[in-house]
Amino acid sequence: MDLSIRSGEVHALVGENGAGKSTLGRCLAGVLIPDEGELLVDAAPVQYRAPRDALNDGITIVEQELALVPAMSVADNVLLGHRKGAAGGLRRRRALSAEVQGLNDRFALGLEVSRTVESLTVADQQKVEILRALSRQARIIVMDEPTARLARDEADNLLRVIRMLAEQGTAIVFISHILDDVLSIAERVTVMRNGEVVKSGEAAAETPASLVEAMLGRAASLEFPEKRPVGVDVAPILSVRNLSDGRRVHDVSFEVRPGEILGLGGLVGCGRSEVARLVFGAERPARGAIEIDGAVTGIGSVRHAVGHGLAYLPENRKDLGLLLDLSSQENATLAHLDQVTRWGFISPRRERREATAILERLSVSPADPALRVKALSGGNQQKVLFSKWLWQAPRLLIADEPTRGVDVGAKFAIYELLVELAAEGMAILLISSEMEELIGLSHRVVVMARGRGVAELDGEQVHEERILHAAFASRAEPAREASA
Amino acid sequence: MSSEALATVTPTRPIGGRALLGWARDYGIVVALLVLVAIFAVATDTFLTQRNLSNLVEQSAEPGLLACGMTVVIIAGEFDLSVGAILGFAAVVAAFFVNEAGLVAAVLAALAAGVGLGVVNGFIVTRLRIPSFLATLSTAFVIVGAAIYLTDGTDNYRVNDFLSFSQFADGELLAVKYKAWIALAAFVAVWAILRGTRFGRQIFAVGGNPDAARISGVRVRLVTTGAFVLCGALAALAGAISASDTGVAQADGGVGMEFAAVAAVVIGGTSVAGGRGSVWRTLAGVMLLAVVANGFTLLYISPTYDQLVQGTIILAAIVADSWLKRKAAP
Repeated sequence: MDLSIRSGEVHALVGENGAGKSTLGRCLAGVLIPDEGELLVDAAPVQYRAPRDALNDGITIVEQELALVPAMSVADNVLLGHRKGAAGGLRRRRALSAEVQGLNDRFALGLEVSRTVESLTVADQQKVEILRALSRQARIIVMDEPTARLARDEADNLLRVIRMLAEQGTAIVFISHILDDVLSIAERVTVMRNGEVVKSGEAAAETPASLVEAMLGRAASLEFPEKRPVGVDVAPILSVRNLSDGRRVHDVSFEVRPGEILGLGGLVGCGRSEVARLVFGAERPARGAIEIDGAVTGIGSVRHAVGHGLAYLPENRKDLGLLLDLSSQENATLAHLDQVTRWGFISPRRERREATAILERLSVSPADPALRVKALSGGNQQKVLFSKWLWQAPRLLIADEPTRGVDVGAKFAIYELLVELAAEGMAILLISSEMEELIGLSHRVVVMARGRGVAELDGEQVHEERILHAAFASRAEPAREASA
Repeated sequence: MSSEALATVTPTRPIGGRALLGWARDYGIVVALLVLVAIFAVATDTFLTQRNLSNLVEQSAEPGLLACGMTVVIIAGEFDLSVGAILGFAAVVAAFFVNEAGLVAAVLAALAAGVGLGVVNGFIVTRLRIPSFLATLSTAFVIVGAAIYLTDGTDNYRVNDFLSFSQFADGELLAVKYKAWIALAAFVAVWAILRGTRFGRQIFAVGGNPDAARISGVRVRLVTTGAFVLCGALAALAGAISASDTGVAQADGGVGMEFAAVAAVVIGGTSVAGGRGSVWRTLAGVMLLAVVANGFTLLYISPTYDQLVQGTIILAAIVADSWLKRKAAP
């Protein structure tokens, strides 16, 4: 494949998972060493053996997994491995810190350079990496999915920073699944499929639909599946009343009925995921009641929750969801091993049969149940996670960011799956930072802000403006209080 | 904005003999063991004799039992540095009970001691939340101290009726002493537990990703404690064998053996990061160390070099494993 990047342009790379976007980015920045082919910088061929070589030419990468030392300050992280910072004593370091501060101000990143990195949000940590790139006079910054883990307002802020960088002459290689971000920021877009460039051109000529078509090699529907009506007088499966954990969740109440998809909206850090963990028994509530079928239960452990027919797809599938070293089959059966166990022994034939059936139903590919989950693509890993919780059909599915890091094709498959499950009578508690997804799937949306439920929107009321209004209105409150 | 090309790249997808490297990583230990056996078989007349081979497996019984239990704990993502201490303690318990109540009571009492000490280790690690490395390092001292106390400070405890008690370890079946058969049975049992049971599967889950295991409803603390209990029981079995074999229970007789156990597990290729590994690998690791020591003796190489060579082999195994892991990674 061929690709060229001009200075001062934002060049987007899009494609399905496994199309080779990240691999290409990592080759550029010297993280991976290409087997064949040429890399020309300023029209001169170069060969990078390590990230350091690329850095010397002003090329660096901000990867999905950030590479920072959590306990060190922003300034120290930026200066880490810096030739100038290595020797020179305290005075020299102060001067360098001031330089870091200067860069921060020039690009309006809004970081406090003396704070430790671990005390920052993910969005700010990303900015630390950008700051580090800037401090090395980076001319090309490769950014791999920079907005995937950010809330909308944080993402917009980052896009603004990227625009400013480009105006000052830095080229940005912007790898992303979020096509709206791509189209709002990129000058040129390159679409990859199976390691090859299938399309490359001006972003202005593209639409989300045209990009998806190029990525998949066929036209795809970007429509959300139709919502099915929920019976009005059906008793709720789950009622949460005045739930508090004493720290990040305060007085949250809501109900979910069979067949209903209830969305939990709000900004990142508003307490949505914490509510999910409380309901699932992964954390203990300080106050409040959780009722299942109208009866108060003392959900104090995950085992109770599973016993009551609850299932939980956690936000971060690598940390909380999957065992990457185990096979698809072993992951799929882990939560309900009792079903295939007799006298403590797992029946290999039954386990294989059951696992194969559920993995096939969710069309995990490759379909080999003995394959390690580590070897699967992000979308297929997510399907394995679904199969783990759908094998013994739950009554309530809590899905926290079910499409994060999943490519477009798999994303719509997951939407269809969720709507289909609800139509079969499952109740679904959906948490999503993607506004379209929340609106497109949910029958009702409870908006949270600062740990409280601030609005409940139903039917026609479920649209972007109302949700954002509710989420931000309450955020402004403490500021007013403080100034009063 | 200028429009000259700043960077151009033309990569191709990586290819290579990864399958071969992956195979080498998975079965390298077996190849290494077979190569060593072949070398010693050719270089000496005595290696492949029935007497020598019996010796080889019999001497591996106690280190094998410790390494077998250590494998379980390491797969669960923990360490148990108290296995050597448990061996000594259980030996004293066995010697005491064989004098008072006979052979069966002695073995059962030793096992009970191992189970109890495993529970204590598990409690400290899971409930008091002390990293297992530190927890078991400390309990090791306490356990040795308790064993010395039990011997009234004499350090050892004699078995009165040595002749009949020695039958437990040294009775022979097919010209191989019972202790080797006991160790082999333990390996088969632990293999079956790890591969075939729910408990075994949960050990892999807990070691691989404790958070994910918890979210899946696995009782993480119970499973971790179970791993320590299994490990403690196997160490205690080794202790009973040692008392039966020598007729003397040495309170600190197992101190230091825990490191050989960790070494055997690592040489076998079980990941110290947890969540991966197998007990047959450990068996191969134990045999590899035993074959090297045995071969050196037969070649009349001075024991001066024993530790030097063993250490080098351990280092080489770890370096090779880590190298192959990186090369064969998907």
